[in-house]
Amino acid sequence: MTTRKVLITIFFTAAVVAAAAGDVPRFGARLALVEEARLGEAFASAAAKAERPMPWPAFANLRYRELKGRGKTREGDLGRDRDATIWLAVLDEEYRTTARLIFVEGGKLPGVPADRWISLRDFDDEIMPALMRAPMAFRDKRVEEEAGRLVARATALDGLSWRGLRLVPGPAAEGWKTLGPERPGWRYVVALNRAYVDGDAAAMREAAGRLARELTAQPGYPAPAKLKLEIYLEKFGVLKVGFFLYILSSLLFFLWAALGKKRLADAGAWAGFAGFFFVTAGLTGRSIVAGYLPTTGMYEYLALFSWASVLVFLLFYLKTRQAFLGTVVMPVAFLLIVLASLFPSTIEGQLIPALQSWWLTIHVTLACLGEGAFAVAFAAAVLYLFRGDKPSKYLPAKDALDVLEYRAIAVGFPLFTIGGLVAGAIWAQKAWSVWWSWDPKETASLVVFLVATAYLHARHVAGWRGRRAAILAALVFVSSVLTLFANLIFGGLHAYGL
Amino acid sequence: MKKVVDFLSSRRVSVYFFIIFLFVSLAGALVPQKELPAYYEAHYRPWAVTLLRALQLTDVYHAWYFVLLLTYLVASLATCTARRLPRALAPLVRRPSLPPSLDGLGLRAELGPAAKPERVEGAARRVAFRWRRIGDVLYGRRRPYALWGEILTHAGLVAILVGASFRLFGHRDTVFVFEGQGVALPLAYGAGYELRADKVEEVRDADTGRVLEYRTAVRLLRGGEEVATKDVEVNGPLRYGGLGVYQSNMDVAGASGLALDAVKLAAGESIADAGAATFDWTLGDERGAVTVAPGQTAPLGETGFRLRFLERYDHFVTDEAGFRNDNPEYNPAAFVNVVDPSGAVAMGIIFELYPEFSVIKSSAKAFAGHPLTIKLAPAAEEKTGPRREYVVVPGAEFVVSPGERMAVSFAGEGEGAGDAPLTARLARGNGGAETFTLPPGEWVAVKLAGGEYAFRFKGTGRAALTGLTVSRDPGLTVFYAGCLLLSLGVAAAMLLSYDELFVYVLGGKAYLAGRSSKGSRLLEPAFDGWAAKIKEGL
Repeated sequence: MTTRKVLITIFFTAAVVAAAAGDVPRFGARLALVEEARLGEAFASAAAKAERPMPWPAFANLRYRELKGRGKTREGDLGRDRDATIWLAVLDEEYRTTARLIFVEGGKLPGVPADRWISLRDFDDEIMPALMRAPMAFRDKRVEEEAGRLVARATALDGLSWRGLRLVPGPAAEGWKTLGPERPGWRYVVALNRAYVDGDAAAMREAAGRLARELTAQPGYPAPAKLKLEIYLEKFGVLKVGFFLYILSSLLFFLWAALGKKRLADAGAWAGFAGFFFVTAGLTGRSIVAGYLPTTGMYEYLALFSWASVLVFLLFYLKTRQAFLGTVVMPVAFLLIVLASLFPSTIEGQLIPALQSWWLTIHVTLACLGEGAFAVAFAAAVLYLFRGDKPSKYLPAKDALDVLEYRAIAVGFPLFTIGGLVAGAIWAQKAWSVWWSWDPKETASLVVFLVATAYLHARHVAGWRGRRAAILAALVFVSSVLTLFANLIFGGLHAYGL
Repeated sequence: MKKVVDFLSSRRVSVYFFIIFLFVSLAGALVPQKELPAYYEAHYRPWAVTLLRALQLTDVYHAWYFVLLLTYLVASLATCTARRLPRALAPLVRRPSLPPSLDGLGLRAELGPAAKPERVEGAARRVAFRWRRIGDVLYGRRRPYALWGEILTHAGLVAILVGASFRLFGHRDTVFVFEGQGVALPLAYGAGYELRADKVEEVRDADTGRVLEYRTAVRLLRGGEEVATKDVEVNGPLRYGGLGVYQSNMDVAGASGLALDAVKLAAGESIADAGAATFDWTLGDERGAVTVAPGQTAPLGETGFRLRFLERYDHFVTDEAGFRNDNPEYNPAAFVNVVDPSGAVAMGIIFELYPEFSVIKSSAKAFAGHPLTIKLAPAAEEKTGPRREYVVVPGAEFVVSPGERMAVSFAGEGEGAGDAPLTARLARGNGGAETFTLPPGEWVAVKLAGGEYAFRFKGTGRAALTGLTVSRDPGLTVFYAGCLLLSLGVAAAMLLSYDELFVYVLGGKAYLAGRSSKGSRLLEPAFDGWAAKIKEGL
């Protein structure tokens, strides 16, 4: 072994690639080893200093990484680091277990024959565009053949010299695992080191290959059923179907308001409920895939808020068989979904530690249900304000609307108080050590509580009814919508990931 | 007194209060709170800055008028609660009485021709109320406890606000502790408290690699005795005696600090022996163990070979520049030279945890045919004493022994890591303190309560750092009680009502009248149903 020539420790990749070349279907395990190993001249000069040998520090912080597919390969999946060598797994958008492992070197290395490696530029210019633009090409034999050619070229280690290896010493980064004595394949790491010391490239390649095969076993692969569910949710756009049904429902209610035919109102209600069914299915599926209820992030909260509004409307309709509230509730639900669509809808694979508590479910769900009830109260209030005094075949009497508005607030108030404020404060004490810190979201929620309290006092103590009460009831809902923007605009402790 | 009570329970005053409170709360949300003066000067016009300061809007939640508003709120709530108490108690302690006029009640329905009292009673019992006779009237009621909803709600709010005011007497601090080290807590939390972070870790998902949890193995000591221990996580604080320890920050990658070694010297041991390492060697059929101090040479038994111990790294890691001693993981390695009888030198790096990676290389022929293995033995207490490594923040105190704290900083201004010595200040448990110098790389003997120790400054290092929030909130129990009362109260107040029914005879006809704490209109649908039921029974 010469100690002066450089060798990229993509021998891992090379080993995996070697295995791949011999048995491509095994790469269907969708594993990629992303490793950075590069030595520069400094290593050689350090060896020349003092009287110290340069052992292969494989034990130091050997890291490798698995990539689990959630669609197209993203920039973050690539282990780029300056001009380090990259290994990446290009994943089928359909979550097929077919994977292409493509070895790319970042830049040419001195002393290394050019035809042994694929430069990053070549890969970026020729291969990557084809793969990213035409994911269906994954099934194309030509791509497979091309990938096979790349693989074959990358596996040619003969004639390469080893100078030294570095395997990502340093702290853990997201997605990296530590390879230590307790993990399978450690004995191959030892063999790899011994082969390095002895200068035996063939032995190094063999050990690397065996190590790679050990590491390609995937104990934690997502269940096929879960992956399939995620695919179908995306493919069929269950939430989108619900959204369009909300639009249809709103249109039917508007037609009912214009033409007065009761059947239009009923049709609008049933379209809304069909939309509710799809939205429920979409949110349920999302919960199963994510592993937690859709209570984090603006997209999920707005979708849940919309869902809760229609739920309360549905319960009211089932009790009274009167659909008039849908004239306002369904457009509100539709607008909330529109708002939701402005935010990223990616499912977070893992909640951040601060959100890993069952208080999240209690706090957000109850607050959402409360706000959904406020939305129904808003609908009753708006209808009251726009309803004339004459008898109407479209709408019940003002008295009835007034009672309905109160009942909705009476349902929403305890839900919001217990869920939004009390549960939120208790959780804040556990997570942040202080149960109230005047965070913008907390302050905005307090405003909602105060407005709702003012409404209830105005009714019970001051005897407010009718127009004044309706305006206040509408303000309750408006203030609860404004809480959504508290952290968007002002940041604060609730602004996770914003 | 009556004027005060009237003022506190005045609707008009409460409306004004509400409006002011609303605007003040919104102002607190719109204006960034408790920022440095330079922040406001940079972001607001001069007249706006003057206005913000004059109105105390930069720290509105501690402004005198906000405290006044809260005080009014507590007093008003307490007054309203007290005023409602008799009404809530009445159904429970007094015999029910009839309203002046049953005909005047908002809800009234004709049941039909008057029937015998027994028949009427039997029909009335079809409705699930508690019935009794008051004179000629059959009186039924349900859920008298619903009146307590308002009481509990107001009482809960009062308790929460009182709990908040108790917080003014509490404390809250964030302390940063390097892994394996401890810090003394301020006296405000109680005398003699020390917090140790035995292990600092990020727990990651095996599949995605994302962080599942930030966890610190915390030990709480008081007067040197362990009183509580817990793996503190983000939603899992340690609680002991009113003290709470919460996970708030973490830097597992390692924050930089000044690295010190500390070794306890055994009786009779000198500084020169500090940091000695023991090597178990095997050369052919010969084997043995040798203890060597850094920079010293020792023979390997009678073999004629000698071992020279150059240096020890406890956190060995390499990169393209060579090797460093800042691996976040513990990875002890000893640099050695092995000299054969002819004087040929072989270089070696010996790893304690990974002996299979130890390397001794030499091209000298003398080593051919001499299979030599050397293992680095873990530091043995009886030989070299327990060895501790500290990575500390310059100037910050760290615990070196129960009751004794040390702080180190560079001796001169503007000096950085490298050749500059450190000044160490040792604070004793008895209140005394002493200062000494730590030249880089040299051992200095220090007498501590637990014995004699040797300290050595070895440059900069990295260690995992955890940020823990420590708090003592005297009002927390009251707050939790308030939450319980508020939750029960709003649920009862909003979802329940105290309803009364009256069955009476007038002009040969039986009537049903009713009233509710929520008002007649809300009871109407249910009332119609009850009337129909009773009618059926007649």
